[in-house]
Amino acid sequence: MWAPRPLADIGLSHPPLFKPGTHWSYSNTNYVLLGLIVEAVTNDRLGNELVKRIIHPIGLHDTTFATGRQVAAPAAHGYYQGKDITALSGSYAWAAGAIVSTASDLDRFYRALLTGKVVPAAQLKAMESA
Amino acid sequence: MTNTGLGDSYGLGLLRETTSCDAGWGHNGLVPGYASWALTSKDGRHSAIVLTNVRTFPLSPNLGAALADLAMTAFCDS
Repeated sequence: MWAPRPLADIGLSHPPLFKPGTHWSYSNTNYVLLGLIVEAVTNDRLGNELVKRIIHPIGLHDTTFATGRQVAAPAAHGYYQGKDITALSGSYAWAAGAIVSTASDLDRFYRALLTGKVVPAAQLKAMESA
Repeated sequence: MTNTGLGDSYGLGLLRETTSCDAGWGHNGLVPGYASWALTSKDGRHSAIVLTNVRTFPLSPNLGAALADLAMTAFCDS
């Protein structure tokens, strides 16, 4: 099991890939930092805020923030190096990838996001253009 | 912009993929054991979600490209 702060520390122990604002590169660490910011601003756990602000209002009935050692059954089995790793804790990814969901819930989420039902118009525009 | 494998361009947590029919917005995902693609058009006319279990991490370039092609084909057929 991993805690968010050590994950961020590992990422930040590496030198930056480029000067800020000059390029972009996908970064799990940046999502972990965003999750820590959510917790600092709301004074609440990220999982609770996801349920309160996104999962419940949109009606994602089969979506969980799975940072424990088990995923809600039934789940497709995943494999790595010949081993069944379905029960691998999502804590190593945390805000960058611990959400367990279904195809219909993902469809519902992206339709809601892109039609302005998740964040206000100005923020959606920023998401689409930054 | 060069296609980096994360769509044609990337905003704040949202990628855009140019397809043969319309721009698809969403994200892909890869963790050990699982891979995902989500593409939805702005007007909601097209939407495709591809979720699969996998047995290699990272994906081979061929498998990664095949999953992206599958998502884009399903997106335009939807």
